[in-house]
Order: sequence, then structure tokens, then C-alpha cells
Amino acid sequence: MNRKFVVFLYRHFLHSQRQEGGLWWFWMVALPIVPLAAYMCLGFLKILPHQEGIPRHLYIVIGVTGWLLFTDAILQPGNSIGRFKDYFVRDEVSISGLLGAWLPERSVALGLQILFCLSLVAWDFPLLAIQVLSFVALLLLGFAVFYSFGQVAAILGLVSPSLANLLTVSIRFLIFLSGVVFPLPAAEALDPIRVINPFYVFIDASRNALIGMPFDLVPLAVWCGVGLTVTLFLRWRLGRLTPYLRNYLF
Amino acid sequence: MTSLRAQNLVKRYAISSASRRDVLRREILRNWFGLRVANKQVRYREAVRGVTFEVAKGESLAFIGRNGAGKSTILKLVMGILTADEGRLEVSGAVGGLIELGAGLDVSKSGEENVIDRAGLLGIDDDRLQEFLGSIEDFAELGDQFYDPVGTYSSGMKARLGFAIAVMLPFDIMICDEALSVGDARFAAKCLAKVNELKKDRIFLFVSHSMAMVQRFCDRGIVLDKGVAVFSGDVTEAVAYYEDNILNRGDDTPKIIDFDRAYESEPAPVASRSFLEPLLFNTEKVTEWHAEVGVDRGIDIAWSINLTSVRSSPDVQYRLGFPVFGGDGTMQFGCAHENVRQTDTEVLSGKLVIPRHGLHPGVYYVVISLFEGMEPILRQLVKEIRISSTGMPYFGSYSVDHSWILGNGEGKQDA
Repeated sequence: MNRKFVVFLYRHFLHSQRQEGGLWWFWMVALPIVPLAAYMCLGFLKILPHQEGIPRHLYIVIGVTGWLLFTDAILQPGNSIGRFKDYFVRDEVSISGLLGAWLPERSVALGLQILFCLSLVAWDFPLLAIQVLSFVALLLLGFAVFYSFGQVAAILGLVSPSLANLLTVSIRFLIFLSGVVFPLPAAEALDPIRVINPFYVFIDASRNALIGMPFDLVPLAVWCGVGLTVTLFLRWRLGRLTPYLRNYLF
Repeated sequence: MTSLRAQNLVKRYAISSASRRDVLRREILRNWFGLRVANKQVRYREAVRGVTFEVAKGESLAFIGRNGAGKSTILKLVMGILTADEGRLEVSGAVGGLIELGAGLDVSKSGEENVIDRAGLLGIDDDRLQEFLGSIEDFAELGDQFYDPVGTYSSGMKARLGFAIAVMLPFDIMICDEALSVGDARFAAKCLAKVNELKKDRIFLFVSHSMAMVQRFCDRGIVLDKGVAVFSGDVTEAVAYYEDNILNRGDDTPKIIDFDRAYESEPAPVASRSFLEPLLFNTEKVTEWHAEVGVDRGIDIAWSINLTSVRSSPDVQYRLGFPVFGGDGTMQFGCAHENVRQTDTEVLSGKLVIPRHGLHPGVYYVVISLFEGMEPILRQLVKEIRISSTGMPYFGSYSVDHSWILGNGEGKQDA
């Protein structure tokens, strides 16, 4: 994305935050943490079963942090087209700039969520630097994979609004099959989900990396491979759609 | 180096949103997966058809035409908002300007913040930004409201800010689409002066329905008709061509007419117009009538009317009038005589001389109207006349006879 455009978007975001009034800085920090705190309550209420080696509330907070990051990567590129299309009239904003225009604004919230998650875990757990680095690296890797899917979904969602709706609905249900707030049941029938559901793969791997437990590298590598393929494909072919997308949007 | 070159530009619009979606779907399949899908349901409208032009730095070009002629589409192509379906467009230099007044302004931000945003996107550094901020603030004349949210501005204030940003920021190719048609006269004059000052360093593309504005701002003109460039040349000639061949044409068919011959072409055949109704011819009172209209700077009408009898009543007056209607049905003026029969005769005849009509370019309708006392006995369309453009700007509805006395009076000139 164009550097000038990124600076502009950050500036735009700060401006809109300041419009919120005197406590804008407080809400800018507090609001992204609220969903994590709300899910954390589920852990303290002991509604969910105890997990070996990790307190319930930390299990949930780590899972939700990854979940919010990954679902944003999938859903936000589509929303970005509607929100930022006015900037797409400029030559300096490319199609990838349009699809990623939401990133500067959301990066603040997502960054705060990751920091909150890490501080919470560090409070209860002795964390090694390698664990933190692995956790962040896996989150970013997962983000890159889901973002590549999100870009494809955003473009296809324009020509098929049903696809965009289907994606939103699917994600609502997938939270229960991704080990976000509770682990997948040990039933054999659910084993394929541990591989074919990329949300599960990345959330489980990042959580285990953070608390120093082993995780399965094979599905992770497979999904990274898929993500890399899609990313390279987009790098090669996305720009070709620029004139057609402009004609469609304007 | 700043330049702009377009060759055989073609731009098609899919007519409905469903059609636009079909086009995008087809292009995704073709560009992403190499699949070619024929979609016969897509319906297109060609907004621009084979337009070619070239503009160099220091030149100003106007696109002239009716609504839907393709003017704004060409500007959008130049700005990069749209992409041509066929042809070649080479744009060298930063393009900016006003496609719509106030467009692109963020209403939640102040005028100052909007300027900072625009400058940031153009990559202007902080030192130069301060310079631009000052000049834009001065030019827009918004006072302290420059620091208030744009949402609180009136439309005129938004126009001033939008125009100030467009002229002050360092664009190489400046675009103005009806941008000067709003705002008070003083600000419009200021804009005109500023554009004239900037013209020599930039390419200036202008679209307006005001031919006076077009001639003030531009050196050259391209007349567009249904997406086709039908004339290209000096702006005065372009305006004349537009006013003569397109503005007053009734049909919707684009015609490419040789400019020189356009002035020699015959007026269109007399057409019936509802606003001329009721047309009547009382055969019990009038046997025949004839009128010949000559048009130059003035209008001469030689007329004769044969009545059925010498006298219906000795005291009855015959009122004759020649109203002249414009193409929109508005009566432009009328000349009436309260009694054209001075002696007992069956034939009424005479000549009406209007030394200078003052009509602006367009199509007009001369009607003959005869009353016997209070009773209308003849009302017929005499002739459709066509006033050609001289290419000079016209103001208001008529040109009136006038003269200028300049200085000590020695420079008196009749207009």
C-alpha cells in the first residue's frame, strides 16, 4: 500500500477518534479490550471445562485474540471497498490499497488486543521471549493467510452478494469449531476439523506456542502453503482487475 | 513534461447495476482463471466514441456538448477514475481538479484538515504544506470558519474551499467540470483571474454549459455529440458550431457536419409546435394569405391577406400581429397593428420592418395573427427561422442596441 495513503489513514483514524470527545484516548484503548474482557468472564465463571495446563480465562482470551484478528482479516477487505472506495478514484491508491485501507485503523485495536492478551498471560505464566515471539509470529502468519482469503472473498463478494453473506454466517458458527472459547471435543469424528479448519489450526498453534506446549506443524505448514499460493496469485492477478473494479464502483 | 494525448478513446457503460456486475464477473473469470464467458445479457451504452485530442502545457481545452454527450466521461478518463475500453490515453503530469464541487471533502474535518489530507496524499512535505495552507485559506476567504468542520459550511463555502484546493495544489493538469457555475459573481471573477494566471503552466480542461464561460477560459474547443467529437478547433468556432448544429437541433441523431458548410445549411423544415396552438384559418372571412420573412440583423415580413368581402361591418377593425416564439414556446416579442385596413378593400397587405431583432442563436417561430374585432380569424405559422451564432458570447435573452462611450467620448462605438 502507498506510504502516503497509510499515513493519511492513520491521521484520519486519529481524527475520527478525537471527534469522540474528551475521553477519546480512553475509549480508543478500552473498546478493543472489551470483547476480550467479556469472554474472559466466561472463564472466571467456570462455566467451561478446565483445561490441562492453562487457566480457563487465559485459554479463552488467547483464542478470542486470534479469532478477532483472523475474522477481521477475512471480513474487513470486503467492508473496506464500501468504506474507502472514494479514495480509489486516485491513481495512487491501488486495488490492494483499497482492500487494505482498513488495516491502519484496525491495527491499533488488534495491536492493543494482542498486548492485552500477552500482559494477561504474563501475569499468570512465566513467559519466555521465544514463546512470545512464536505466538506473535503465528498470529501474523495466520493473519497473512486469512487476509489473502479475505481479499479473494471481497472481490468475489462484489459479483456474488450471497457469497459475502454466506461467509459472515459461516464465521458465526465456526467460532464453536475453532477452539476459541473451548477445545474441540475429543471425538474422532471431529478430527478432520483439526486439519481442515484453518481457524482451529492457527488458534490452537498460537495458543500452544504461547504457553510452551507442542503443536502440530503439518496442518500449519499446509495452510501456510495455501495462503502463500493465494497471496502470490493475488500479487500476480489482482492488479489486472483495477480498471474493471473502477468501472463497477463508479 | 506535462502533456495529454488521447487517440480513438471509446468508453462504454453497462446500463444496469446487474449488467455492471456481469461485466465484473466475466472479467474476474477471464483475468483470474483464464475462462472466457460470453454474456449476451449485458447491455452497453457508448458514452465516448472514438474521441481523439492532444493538449500541451499552457493550452486550455473545453469540451462542449449537451447532457450525455460524453464530456464528464472524458474528464473521468483523464483523471483515471474510469478506464477507456478502447483507444489510447497518455497522461503525463498530476491530474487534479473538480469533477463535482465539494467532492472529496470530508465533512467531519475542518477546511484546514481537508487541505492537509489532500496535500498528504499528494506527497507534499510539511514546509510546502504551510505555504499551501496559507494560500488556500486566503483564496477561499472562509475566515475563521476555515478551522470549522466542513459539514457546517454552506454550499458556496464548500465550493470556495474545493476550488481553492484545486487551483492552489500543484496539479499539472487541471480539470473543471461545471465548477465555476456556482458561487457569487465576485468569487467567480477571482477564480477566472486565478485560472488565467495558472493556465500558462498547466493544462486546463473545462466543461460547462455556459458558452460565455467556455470562451473566457479556453483557447480550443471540442464539440461532442452523443459521444462523438463532431468539431474540434478554435473555441469561438466550436461554440458557434455547437449553438448552430447541436444546441438547437430537435432530433437525437448525432451528425458529423463540416463546419464551413454548417452555416450554409438550410433551416430545418417547419414543424408544428403545440405552443403555437390554436392555429386557425377562418375560410368564411379569409380566402388566402401570404407572408414572406427575411432575416438578417433585422426581420422583414411582407404580407398579404385576401378577405372574402370588402366589408363585414364599417366599424370593425382588423388587428394584425406577428408574434415571435422561441423554441421553448416563450413569446420573445410581438409586433401588432391595431387596424391594418385603412380603406375598403378585399386585400390587406403591407410590410413589417424590424431593423434589429436582437435574438440570440436558436430556432424561432414567426406567427401571423389576424383579428376581426375581437374574433380571431387567422393564426398560422409563417416560418421557422434560425439565428446562427457568431461565436461571440451572449448574455441574457436578447441583445439590445447599445453603444459604448469610452474615455472622453472619442471612442464611441456602436455594438
